[in-house]
Amino acid sequence: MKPLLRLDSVSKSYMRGPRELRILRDVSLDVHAGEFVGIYGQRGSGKTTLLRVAAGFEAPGSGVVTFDGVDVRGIRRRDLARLHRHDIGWVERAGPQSRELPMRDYVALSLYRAVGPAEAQRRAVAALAKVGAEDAADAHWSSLSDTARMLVAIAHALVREPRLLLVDDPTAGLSIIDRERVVGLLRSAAEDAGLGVLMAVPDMPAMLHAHEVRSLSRGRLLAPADPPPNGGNVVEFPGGERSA
Amino acid sequence: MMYGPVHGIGDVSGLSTKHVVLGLLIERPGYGYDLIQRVGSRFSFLGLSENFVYKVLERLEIDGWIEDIGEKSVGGTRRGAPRVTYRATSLGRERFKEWIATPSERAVLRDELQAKLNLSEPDDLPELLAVTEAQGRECMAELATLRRPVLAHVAEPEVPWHHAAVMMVDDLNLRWLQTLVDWLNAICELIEERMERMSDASASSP
Repeated sequence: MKPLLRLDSVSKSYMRGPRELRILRDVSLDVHAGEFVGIYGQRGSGKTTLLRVAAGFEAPGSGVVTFDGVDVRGIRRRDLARLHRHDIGWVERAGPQSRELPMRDYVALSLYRAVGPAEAQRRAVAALAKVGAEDAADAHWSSLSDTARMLVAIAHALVREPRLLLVDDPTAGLSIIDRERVVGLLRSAAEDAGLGVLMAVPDMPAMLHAHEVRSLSRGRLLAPADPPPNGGNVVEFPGGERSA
Repeated sequence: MMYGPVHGIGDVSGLSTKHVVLGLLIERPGYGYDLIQRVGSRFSFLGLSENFVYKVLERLEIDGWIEDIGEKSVGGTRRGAPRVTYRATSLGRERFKEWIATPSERAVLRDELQAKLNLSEPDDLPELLAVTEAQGRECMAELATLRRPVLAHVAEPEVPWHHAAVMMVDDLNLRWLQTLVDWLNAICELIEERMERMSDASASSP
């Protein structure tokens, strides 16, 4: 099956003074429709850059990013904008620029031109209900809890029915139970709605909800080692074989 | 007793104490009591007894990893026996390099990696980096063997307490794994940075 998103040997660096700062090194990754891929990485590991490059917000220094088989680098700006409008959902944590906007309008905003205000509003309310944030419909961003903000942000990305969802650190600041709720929502976006979901997170418990896990460290994406033949898990007291 | 619990030769957990003593002898030659003191000051977390260190030395010499340097001074030991000074053989140096490059059992990873970090020389850094990265990948593979947590259930009175307890223990294992992965990644980052600076420095020096 053709992957929805493919990063092929992607590298990216910035110059900091005379030194080259390599943010991503030879990163290759596929995300298929219906698949929830989790990338584990701490601050400074390059995960936000990886997501931005995957979204087409930043061009890779070298390597290729394809969306549904099309090289994103080669397409016209107008088509890239359309890709962002229709196909790639970016979960934006910063919220709306206007403080006065009720969340139903914030979520509806991107649909106004396409379907008109009334339908946009209807879909926005439905999207909020779907993520369990119907209570936030008439609230303002500043009055929401971190959890409600994350749910609204997911609804905001989902309302346009994208095929790929990109999420940066969705569990930051959330309680244990709310973390599970948010990550569970992402998993069901993949399993039930058939989206490709790519999440980067510095949180191991969240990783367990993903179908595929990778670790990003020093800009390198590491695949897990092959599982040990005994099925893994901790051997608490290995025999004295290795001691003197 | 200065050096913690007494261990027999086979009953220390999977960590290779043989290589620890060998590594100390690669740093510089030494005799029994000297090594006991070096083990005690740098590897107190291993809790090795004096007796154990002597047994390890015996084993290392039989295996040909270390050899008697040939300088005997009478009355050197507290037992009045002639003091034997050992050094690592080339076979021993080879075995030590192999040990650095071999991933540790997960149960002793923390202790053994501490020992490796402690005993590595600058020219061991590439092997140390590679093995640390491999251990990180093994931890990620282990992640795949763990159950998906549903900690929300712990708070639900209908869920039997026994199940809730299991989930909380799973959560501990996950957090421990996260700490380990973060530590391994940090080590890799720092070693790599150091190696880059070493090569920058050697490139710029005449």
